[in-house]
Amino acid sequence: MPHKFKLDRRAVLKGMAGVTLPLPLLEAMGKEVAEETPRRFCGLYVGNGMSLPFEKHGIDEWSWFPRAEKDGKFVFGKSTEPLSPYRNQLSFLGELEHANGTKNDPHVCSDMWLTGAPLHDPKPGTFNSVSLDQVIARHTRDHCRQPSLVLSIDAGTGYASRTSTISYNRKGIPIPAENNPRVIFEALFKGNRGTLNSQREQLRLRMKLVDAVYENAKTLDKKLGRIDSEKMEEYLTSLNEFETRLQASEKWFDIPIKKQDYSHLELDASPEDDPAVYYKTMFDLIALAFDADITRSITFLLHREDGMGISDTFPLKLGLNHTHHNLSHKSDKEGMLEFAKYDRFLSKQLAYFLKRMNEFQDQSGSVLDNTIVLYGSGASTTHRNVNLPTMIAGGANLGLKHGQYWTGRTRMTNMFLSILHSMGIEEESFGDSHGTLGNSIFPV
Amino acid sequence: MTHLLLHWILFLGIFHSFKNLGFAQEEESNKSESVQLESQFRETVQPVLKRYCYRCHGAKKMKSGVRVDILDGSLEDKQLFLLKHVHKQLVDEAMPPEDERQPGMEEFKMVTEWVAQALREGERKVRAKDGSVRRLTVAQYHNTLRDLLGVEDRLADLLPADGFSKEGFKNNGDTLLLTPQMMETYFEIAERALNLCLVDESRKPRIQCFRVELGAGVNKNPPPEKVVLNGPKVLPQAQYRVREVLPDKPFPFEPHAMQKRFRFIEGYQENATVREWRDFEGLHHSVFAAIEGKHTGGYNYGRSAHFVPEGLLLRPRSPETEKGSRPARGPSPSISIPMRELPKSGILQVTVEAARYDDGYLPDTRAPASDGRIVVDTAGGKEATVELPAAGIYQIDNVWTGQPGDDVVTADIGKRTFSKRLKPFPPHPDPDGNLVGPFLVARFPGGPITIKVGCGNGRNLKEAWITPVADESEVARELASFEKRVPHLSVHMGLRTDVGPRLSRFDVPKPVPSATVERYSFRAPVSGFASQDTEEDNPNYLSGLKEIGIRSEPTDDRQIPRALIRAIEFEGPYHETWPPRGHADIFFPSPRRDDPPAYAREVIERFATRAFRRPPTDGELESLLAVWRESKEQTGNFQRSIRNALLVVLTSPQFLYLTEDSAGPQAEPLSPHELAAKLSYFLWNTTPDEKLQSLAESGRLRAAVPTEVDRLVADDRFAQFTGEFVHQWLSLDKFDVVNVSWERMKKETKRELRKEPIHFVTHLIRENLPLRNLLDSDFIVVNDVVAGYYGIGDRTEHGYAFAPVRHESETLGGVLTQVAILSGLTDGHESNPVKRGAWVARKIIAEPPEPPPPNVPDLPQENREKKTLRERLEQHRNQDGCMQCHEKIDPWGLPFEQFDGAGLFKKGKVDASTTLPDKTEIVDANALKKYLANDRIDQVALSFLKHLASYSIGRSLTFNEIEYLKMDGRKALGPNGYRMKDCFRFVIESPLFMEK
Repeated sequence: MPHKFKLDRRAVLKGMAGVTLPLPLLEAMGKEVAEETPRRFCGLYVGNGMSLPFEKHGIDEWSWFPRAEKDGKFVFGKSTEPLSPYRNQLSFLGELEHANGTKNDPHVCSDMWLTGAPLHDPKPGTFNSVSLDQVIARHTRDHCRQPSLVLSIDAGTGYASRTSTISYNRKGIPIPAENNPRVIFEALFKGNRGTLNSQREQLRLRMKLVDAVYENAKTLDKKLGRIDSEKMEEYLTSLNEFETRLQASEKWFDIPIKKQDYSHLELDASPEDDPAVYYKTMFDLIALAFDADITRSITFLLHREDGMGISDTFPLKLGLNHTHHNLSHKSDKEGMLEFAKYDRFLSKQLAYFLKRMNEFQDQSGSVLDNTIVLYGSGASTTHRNVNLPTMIAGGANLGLKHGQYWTGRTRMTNMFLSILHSMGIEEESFGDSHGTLGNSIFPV
Repeated sequence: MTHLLLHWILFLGIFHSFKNLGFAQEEESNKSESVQLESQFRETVQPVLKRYCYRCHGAKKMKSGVRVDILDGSLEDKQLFLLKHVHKQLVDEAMPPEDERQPGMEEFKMVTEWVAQALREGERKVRAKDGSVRRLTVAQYHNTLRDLLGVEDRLADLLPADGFSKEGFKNNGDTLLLTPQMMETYFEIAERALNLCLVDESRKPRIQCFRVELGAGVNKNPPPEKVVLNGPKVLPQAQYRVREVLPDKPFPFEPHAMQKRFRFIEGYQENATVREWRDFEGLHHSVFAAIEGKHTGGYNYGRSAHFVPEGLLLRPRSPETEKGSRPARGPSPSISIPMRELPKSGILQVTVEAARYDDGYLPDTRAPASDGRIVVDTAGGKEATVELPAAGIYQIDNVWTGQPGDDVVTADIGKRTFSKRLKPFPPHPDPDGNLVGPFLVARFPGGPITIKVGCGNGRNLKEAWITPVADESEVARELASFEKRVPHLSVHMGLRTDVGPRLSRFDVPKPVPSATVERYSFRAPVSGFASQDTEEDNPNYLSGLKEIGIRSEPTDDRQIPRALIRAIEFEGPYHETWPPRGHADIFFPSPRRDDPPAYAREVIERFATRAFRRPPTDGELESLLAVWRESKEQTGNFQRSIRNALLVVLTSPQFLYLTEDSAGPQAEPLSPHELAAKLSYFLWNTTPDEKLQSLAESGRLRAAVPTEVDRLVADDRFAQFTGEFVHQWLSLDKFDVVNVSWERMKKETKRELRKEPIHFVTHLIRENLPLRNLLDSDFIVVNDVVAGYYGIGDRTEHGYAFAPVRHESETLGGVLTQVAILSGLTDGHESNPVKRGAWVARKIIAEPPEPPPPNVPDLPQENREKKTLRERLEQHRNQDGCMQCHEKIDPWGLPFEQFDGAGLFKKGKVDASTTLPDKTEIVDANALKKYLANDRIDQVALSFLKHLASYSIGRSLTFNEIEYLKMDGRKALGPNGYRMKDCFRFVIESPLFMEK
């Protein structure tokens, strides 16, 4: 850069009372970053809910939420049993709900799972609002190659109330999801030269323009004699901060991607074939992306809402008698049992993911310990928007305490705020939250 | 003794003012004066204050929130404001209170003299004039971008909201911060705005345009297959026809052919998902027509939507909110046009071809017996012809022999068709054992006319009675006022979901006054509507559907003639000209267009002049041209390289900040360009227009200020000032968030009530009325919704337009008793004299109370049931430490106890009496209004001038400036009753505004 900003940045930041600035860009500033604990988030969504059999059926052991206790500890039901090795790295949360959910169309569960937006009464110009992963991405993006990764069983966005993405940008516009393992792999780890070059070019243009703005601003600064130099200083500081961020983004183009073993990846896996292989591959990709610090915020929609998409047929593929959506509507013993058996299948996939996340190591512990994994659904059963099946895994290094089954009727968005605060993101609120969760799992 | 003392103080004052005339201007003597005052304070004044004042007004007790112990003898503004207060206490002999230790006469005189002298010194103390720099507010930034680039999209909404200053304004330079996050957003917005503004001139614009015609049997060749769409009832295909049409444009364009072949894998059939590829073909799979709420309650007095060969007859919609929230499928009836394709950006235009139907009034009671009654046999729904003796008003009533076959009666009479629901006023038995139901009052020509009545299967239908109606009868008067009303059409757009549309409205409803079909166009940027952007080729038949909704908007529950809707036309993106205005303003015609470097210089210089609100300096222009040159070299593209230079302009401080340059602390006049910008951002909240700029350029602006102020105030853009200023001055944000139960105040009513103070103040300013009208006026400025809420709906027939109306009421008039004020200053349920009193003190009479101390306990809850808020407050006030402040607040709010939490006059007797801090006895709100308008007008004027001046210069006022407004304002404006526009002229012509 042709100009040097003379002020000590920290001094400037301190001096600007009332203005919240993100932490200085560690990557741009030097090696500190390597010692820093990366804070990550992963949101995993399943449509249509989980099986919570009626007590009259006498199959309580098949409830997704634990229904038994032993030695003061919850007992994993049969549908979550595959996760039992990770007892100390996960917790169940019961009775959470989206306050706006009950006012709305019962099918909007996946639309609002990570946003909590009042979809029944949207603000003009928007429909949804920003999702949790995107708020996180805004804060973690300076530390990694790309702000976020949005994955799904079906590519694209789907459509309102039948979405195939759970991520929404700041304006509430759905972010199209990727579902093809090969395409995802190429984009993340190989990097398409053409796209990369054009991205880099765009970034450079922007940096040039910022620089030109700076030059232009200086002509004004010189011209203004005695007048309020504080305002100009505030402007120049802000501009400088923005420029530093751009510089940091540009640096990534020259830093080689971490060496990893890709030999186990089955990149031709397709949801049209074996669901287990497909999920395994997607989870492998997520774990690899976290390990290489490509991004720190990932969402993955495992199952569409209602009868949409290929995932609806997975139970049939596994030898069960009904589609996923139809199973979610069952109230007889047989149906609720089948639904639960499918939950068990999903638990196995999740267990594999947690295993992989434990195998990868950051400097400060396993990748799982530095990642908050949110797994759950936007409905308990049959589009019921209360008592949302919710599990939190990982994040021990972010202060999370596990091995609990906590219940408390409160807003899901309060938990989102707890997640944000645990990650050091000091937002005042999220969606319709009115505070943090304040429970024994989260440090805040 | 006290009298003597007072005389002495007054004499001292005169003497000193006299003395000031001679010596005031010399700065040196000023300085030594203040040094002397300060040492005097320490030596003699402070010890007295310590002895008699500190105990109550020290750090510990802070009675009334006043701390005399912080006085240090200096002439800082903060000190002066406090001294002013102390001075008043001394002159009024209010302090020390009688039951406290009293100073001696000498001590009292000495302190009073010192305070008076310090104040006089302070009044002369002029703030150093070092120019100013303040960031554009979010609203100013939005308006400016729109005016510069012709981009209507609300891009500025990405920025965080601006904070409020202590005066309540958002445009205060000190509270307008800039963060790195905002800097990034400015870049993002500028990029998007330029992308929206600049077009490829070498290409013809693509325009999507289709037309949906409505009417019984309008489609002679309906497609053979049935259209499946869940949600609102899709119309039978014979009743609508969709065509792609060519809009009439003054420039060549490319019509956009909408997609007509589709392949979907997923869709719905009953409750099951269809999971096989199916092909669909035809425009009828791209644009649909449906009606929401064919038979709904609310305001629907008859069949809510009815097809006739000429179109669709549409009744007013039901309330927007039912039981506090909007109905899932939105208010109805609503014509719904579901559609697949929309342009990605730009303006959408929806044109409705409509007329006001020659409708009849639906009476509550049957016509009284009359000799002229004609009885027509209508049994079985047969058609009859009757001979009407003369042209005139007739009432038609229906007669059944038993229970009617349906809740809705219809009648085709001559060429017109009518319908009415029976339920609200069911037929009554007459002595003959028949049921007689009131039906219709309308004008008919004389001579033969056909009549055919229908009601379900026609069961028990017997005859119709046609009774002539005298012109002077009550029902004839009702018909006459019904005939004055016009339907208002609104157009909505948004997203279609399973459980109903998610729509927002295009601008404001338009009245449809004409009996012949005319075109009514509505425009708005596509980005302003709810959209779920699905990817191309989404495999679901129901995905990505948008929807246009058309409704007739009632102002209240009065009957309104139906609207006849003949056709709906869609055009998007809508361009008035090509290239669009924003683009053409940048790439303007020039003889140098073929010489890129010369033209680039012209384009950039011209744009920078508009954006910087002054010509760029050589240095600035050079740095912008450097951007252009480099970009041009790299990209080889002229327009792209210009765009990059403009992006730099739009993110530069010269654009983002309003700047007044200064050479030194002495007062300097504003430069002509600074003056143009200051006037325009004050009165329009946006960038100066060409006229202001050219007056500035030619040096004629200063002289033209009086006429320019008139022009700016008369201009439509003045609404951008009143919308901000009145809202912030009167704290209307409080009303925005107050929660009144839906039974009392519907959401749509609140939306209109909120506008009342703004329209009212605008009217006072534009008409240059005396300020007393602000407090007490014999008119209110309302539309039918607001008038209806006040219970004087029968006085107005203006629809949604605000207009002055004589209220002839004891309780209305002026701003103080407007619902948006009174309700906003409560919790929505119970009247609240504290909030209202503090508001009057702060906003209206320039006696702002101190902010409440920390840790104020809530009012005791235990007596909530038994005691009124007034009584509970009395309890609270009588607690030690509360009384001092509340004595200056609550008395101003108590008269408004006559008005409840919904802002309306309470029924029954209410104690609204009060004793004002100056011991004036006031019996009720009306008396308070009169008292303020007659006895306290100078004070109210000072409050108005203070707020106006502070807003106009975007900063807080100094002690000296407030004194100036008070003294000079009274002299200049008082004799004429402080006419409102004159107040603007006074502020603008004052050194506050004109000097930097």
